Amino acid sequence: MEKIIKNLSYFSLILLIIIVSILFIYPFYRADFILDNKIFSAMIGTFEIGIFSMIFGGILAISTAIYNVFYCKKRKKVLSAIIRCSAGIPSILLGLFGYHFFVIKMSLGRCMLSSSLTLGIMIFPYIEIELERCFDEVSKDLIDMSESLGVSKEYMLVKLIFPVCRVEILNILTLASGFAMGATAPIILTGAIMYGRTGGLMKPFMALPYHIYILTSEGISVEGAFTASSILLVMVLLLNLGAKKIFNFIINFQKNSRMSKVK
Amino acid sequence: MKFIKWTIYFFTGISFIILLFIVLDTFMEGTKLFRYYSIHDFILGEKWHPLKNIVGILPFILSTLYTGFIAVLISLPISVFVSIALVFYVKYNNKLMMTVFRTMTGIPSVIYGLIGFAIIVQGFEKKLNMTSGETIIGGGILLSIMVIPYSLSAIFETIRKLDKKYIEISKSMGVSKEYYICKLILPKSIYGIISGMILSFGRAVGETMAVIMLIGNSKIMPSLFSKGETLSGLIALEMGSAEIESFHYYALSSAGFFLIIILISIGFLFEYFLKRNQVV
Repeated sequence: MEKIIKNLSYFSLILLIIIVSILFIYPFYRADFILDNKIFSAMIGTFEIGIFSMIFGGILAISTAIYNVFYCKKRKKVLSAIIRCSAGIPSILLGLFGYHFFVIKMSLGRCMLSSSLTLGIMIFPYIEIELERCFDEVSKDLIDMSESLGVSKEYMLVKLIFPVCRVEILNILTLASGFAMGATAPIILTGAIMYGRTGGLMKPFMALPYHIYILTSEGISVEGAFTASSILLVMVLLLNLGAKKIFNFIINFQKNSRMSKVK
Repeated sequence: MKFIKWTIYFFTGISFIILLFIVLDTFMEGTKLFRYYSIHDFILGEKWHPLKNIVGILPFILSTLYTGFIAVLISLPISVFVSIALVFYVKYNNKLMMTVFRTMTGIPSVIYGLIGFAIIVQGFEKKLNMTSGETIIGGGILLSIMVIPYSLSAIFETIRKLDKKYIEISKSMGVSKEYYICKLILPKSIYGIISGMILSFGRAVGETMAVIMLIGNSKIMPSLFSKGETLSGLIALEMGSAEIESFHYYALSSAGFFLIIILISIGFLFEYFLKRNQVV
């Protein structure tokens, strides 16, 4: 009995480590890295969709999180529960909503705008939940002090909360945009195309995830799909792991330069 | 300064209106079909011929549930044992490992699908000599890998908190580590395990792209080694080709409505067990 648990847990840990290493290494192993013009168009499309959906989702989520933490007096738990439930809505249903509402009823057509609005709605609950946790971690003393000084809540937000949480907010936003870049199901219905040039906001676009899906399912080129997926993996992982360090570095650099000016 | 306050109120209002709109839109568009078509035939029908006005989504519901159950069955023991290993046995690099496992959620689902296509489908075809490697069980195995990080982080947090609470007592009683795990930690963490299970089941049911690439997309009654098609896959594949506001379009919207009902009930279950978990 004693040995069974120990052995099983070590076995499953090693199994999981093997699976994770396969996931991270296999695309690079199979890729051939013969890049042509098509994939650059897809890369630009993916990048743009990440930025636009980050803007749409970020504005909504930041204001909702501030409202929920600082302004809302009653019903706080209900609102949080609603948002947590909406994080569980799968992306295909949001794609269906985007198709019904943005593409057909508002007659925007299949374009980058409707895709990025849909993706913004998709990443909104994730940003909101993380931001709420981040605002709750700001120490109560700071808030109490600013309230006893008699400054308004808005002044406190601008001068106190935002500077304290600046790195965290930027980090959460980049994480969410990485999540939006990898989503495929919403953009199938709302505006991704197989082949073409990525243009303006009101035009359809190419995106790496849809490109991978088409290359695989139509049997065009599995090697090309692995190349595209290794590029996508690098983009998403850089956003996931590297963003916090970069923001910390930039902000420390600014502080140091300001300090040297004072001296 | 008043301006900031009103901006915050405005955007908060907009975001809740959008959430309301999502529910309303799915409900309105999803129930339009039932004016012409009986609900009973829709759920229990086995044939899908939208152009002949025959729609039944039983095969899709069954294959969605099959893949979800296979995913939970495989991923749950792995995540329980991995979290036991990380809390009790491995003393170094725990944080690094958890960070790496959490990064698995950041990998786009289409990449999971591609790797699964290259390894599972082609492996079935070559190693097991099957005519087609696209099976329900392949989709289930891939889904189980995709949902491991969700159930793992829920179970890991529960077990770590319980360990902090009871480690002193168990040490002073002088019982062995395995006895402590079997008799105290696992029974106490049952609600954490159940909530992790429900969370991962919800993820598995809603997943689209990875399953589309592995499951074969045939409209037949599913069995373990046959092809199948999930509800989400049905919507993603056919919505673009359905004529707007036709019978086909409303049938697909109703499939989405049914999917959201399944997921909302799973979400309420999850909230319930989360509350129970905090009490323990």
